[in-house]
Amino acid sequence: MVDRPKKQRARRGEAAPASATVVVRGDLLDPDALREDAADNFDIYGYWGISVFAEIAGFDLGWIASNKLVNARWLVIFTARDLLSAGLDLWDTGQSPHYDVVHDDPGELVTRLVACPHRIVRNPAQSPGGHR
Amino acid sequence: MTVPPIALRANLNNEDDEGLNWSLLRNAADQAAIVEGAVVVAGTERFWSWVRIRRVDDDGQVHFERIGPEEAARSVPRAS
Repeated sequence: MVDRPKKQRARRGEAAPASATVVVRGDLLDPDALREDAADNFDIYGYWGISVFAEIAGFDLGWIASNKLVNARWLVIFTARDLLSAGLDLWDTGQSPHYDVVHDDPGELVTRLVACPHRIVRNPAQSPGGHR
Repeated sequence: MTVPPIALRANLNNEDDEGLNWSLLRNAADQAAIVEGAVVVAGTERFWSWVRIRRVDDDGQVHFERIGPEEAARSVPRAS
């Protein structure tokens, strides 16, 4: 790719999520896929980030699962406390309730995210093949 | 459901500043097919959707919106 100026990612300027806030990502935690996602994000926005959604501002897990992640069979669920305790940052990027999990080293980003306490659940709202 | 061929490898967690999903043109099976208005399958074998391409930027960022199979079928007969 041609080395060109990166886009400036918009931050919402919200207070950090409360430590007990549920943070969810669609699909399983595949380290290779996570590395590719972080690299794509770096190429466009100039930082290593992995997209997640958080239960904030009235958006609960059920809404996120049936709207943002309706095509995902699996959901990986963290807490903000565990992500931050792992030395990761949560940036309030894009539109609520989207966040990026961020670290300045891509290898550490993936390693810490995969090692962070989490649980995996089947998405009860899954609708394969298209948003409804 | 059988997974159709993925035209655009994408992580459907990704959202841009407008709330659209996004990927990179280099992740397309056929870059010529990724044009504004095109209806294609984006994602991975485990996490995919029919989508409509909204915009392709000069830096290769592809912005798209997820659509339902019924809407996809109106644009792409093989979606039905």
